[in-house]
Amino acid sequence: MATRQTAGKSAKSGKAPQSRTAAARKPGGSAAQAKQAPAPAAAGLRGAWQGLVRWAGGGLPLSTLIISVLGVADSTFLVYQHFSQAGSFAFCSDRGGINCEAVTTSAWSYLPAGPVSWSVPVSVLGLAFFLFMLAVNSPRGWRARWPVVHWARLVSVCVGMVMVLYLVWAELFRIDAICLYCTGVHILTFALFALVVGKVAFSGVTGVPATR
Amino acid sequence: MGKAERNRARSARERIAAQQAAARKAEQRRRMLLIGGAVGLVIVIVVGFIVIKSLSKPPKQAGGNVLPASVASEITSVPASTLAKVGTGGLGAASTLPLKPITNKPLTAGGKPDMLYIGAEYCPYCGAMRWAMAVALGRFGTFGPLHGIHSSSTDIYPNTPTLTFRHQKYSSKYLTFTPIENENEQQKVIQNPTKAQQALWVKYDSTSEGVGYPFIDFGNKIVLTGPLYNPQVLHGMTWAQVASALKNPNSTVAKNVNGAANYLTASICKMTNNTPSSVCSAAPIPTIEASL
Repeated sequence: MATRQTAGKSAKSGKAPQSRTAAARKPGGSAAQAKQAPAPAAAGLRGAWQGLVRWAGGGLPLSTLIISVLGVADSTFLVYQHFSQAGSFAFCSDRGGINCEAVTTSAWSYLPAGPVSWSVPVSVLGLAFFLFMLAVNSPRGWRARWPVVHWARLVSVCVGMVMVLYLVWAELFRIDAICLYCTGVHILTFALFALVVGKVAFSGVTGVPATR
Repeated sequence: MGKAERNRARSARERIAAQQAAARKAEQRRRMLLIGGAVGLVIVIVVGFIVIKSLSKPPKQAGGNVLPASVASEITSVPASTLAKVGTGGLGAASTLPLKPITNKPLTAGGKPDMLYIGAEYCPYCGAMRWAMAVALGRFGTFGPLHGIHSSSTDIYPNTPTLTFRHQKYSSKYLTFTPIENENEQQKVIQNPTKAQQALWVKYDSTSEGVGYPFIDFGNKIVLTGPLYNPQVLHGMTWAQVASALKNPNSTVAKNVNGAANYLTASICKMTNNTPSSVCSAAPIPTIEASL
C-alpha cells in the first residue's frame, strides 16, 4: 500500500495515483485495491486531519490553536477554583512541595502581589491571555492582513513568557510550593512561545496565506 | 559564444550558486540561533531557578504562606453583628473552660498591657486558638501580613490549617501582643521565652508533664492554659475556607472560632480596662466578661 500519496505523484507500488478522497469514491476492481479495503476509515481520518490542517493554515497554526484551547481550559479551571474558593484540587495535594492550594491562595496569586486592594487575580490574567491567544491563533487570526495582529501575537507570547518566569520564581522562592495546574499553564505558554518565535524566525512577523 | 566564454559563464554561475547556498546556510543558522537562543534562554533561567532553590538554605524568617489581603481581612474584620449572634458559640460556661483569673502585678510591654502568647507551630490546639486570637485581636489593632501554615502531620488532628505568629507584626494603641512560637512544625525550637516569660509560663501552666501549649497571659489578669474548642472542626479546610466561614454565624467554624474569640475579647477587655468601649461594651462581651 502506498504510504504517502500526493495528488499527481504515483504511488510507491507503481499503481495509478489515487486522490485523497479515494476511500469515499471506493474505486473498485483490482486485487491490490481490494487489499486496501480496510484503509477507507484511515484514509477518511487522514483526509479529515489534512482538511483540519488546511483550515487552520498549516501545522504550526493548528498547533498554536490547540495549545490555546488547552490553555483556556486550564485557566478557566484555575479561575473557577479561585472564585469558588474550592478546597481541593483533583490530583494535586494541599500539603508539601506540590500544593495547589498554597500557591493559588498565596499573596502571589494576585498581581501586584501582597495586600493591595486593586490587585488582579493571576488566574484571571492567565485566562485573558489565552483567550487573546485563541483569537490571534485562530484561522482568521493567522490569515489576518493587518501586521498589528501578528506583532500582537509575538509581543503577547513574549510578555506571557516573562510572566511565567516571574510566577515560577514566586513558586520556588516565595511560596515554596508548586501548583500542578499552574505548571500546566506555564508549559502551554512556553510551547506557544517556542512555536511563535520559531515561525517568526523562519518567515518573519507574518501570518499564513489565505486559503484558495 | 566560444568555449572559453562558456566556461567563464559556467564558473560565474557556479560561483553565484555557491554564494547563494552559503547565504541560505547563513540565514538558516541565524534562524536556528534565534529560536535556539530564545527557547534556550528560557530553559536556562528555569533550570537556574531550580538549581539555586535546591542549593539554598531554608529561610530564617517567619515561615508559612502569606495569605491574600482579602483572606486576612475576613479573619481580622469579622462583623460585630456576627460575633454578637454567635455569643459563646455553645462552648460552655467560663467555669468549664481553661480560662482562669489570676492575681499578679500587671504584665506590661511598651507601656501598655501585654498579651503574652506561647505556643508551637506543630501544636494543633495552638492552631485552633490562633484563629480565635486573630479574630479577637483584630478588634483592638492591626495585623501585618498573616501567614498560613498547617500543624504537624504526625500529631493528633494532623495538618490542621492555621496561622503562625512567628515574627508576627501587630500594632494597637490598647495593648501589646507578644507572640512566641516556641517550636516549629518539626518540633525544633525556634523562639525562646525570656526568663520572666518562662517564669509566668511555669507558674500558671505547669502540670505533672511540664508546661503545655497553648498558654496565654492577659496582662496577668487572666490566663488561658488550653484550647477553647476542638481543632477537628477545621479538619480538611483551606485557610480561605476557614476565613470565609467566619462570616456565617450558623457555621460550625464560626460558632467555635468566634465563640472562642469572644472569650478572648472579654479577657483582653479585662486587661485594657474595657477600652475601647466600642468593643468592650458590644454584646456579648460584657456578659462573658462578668462570667470570667
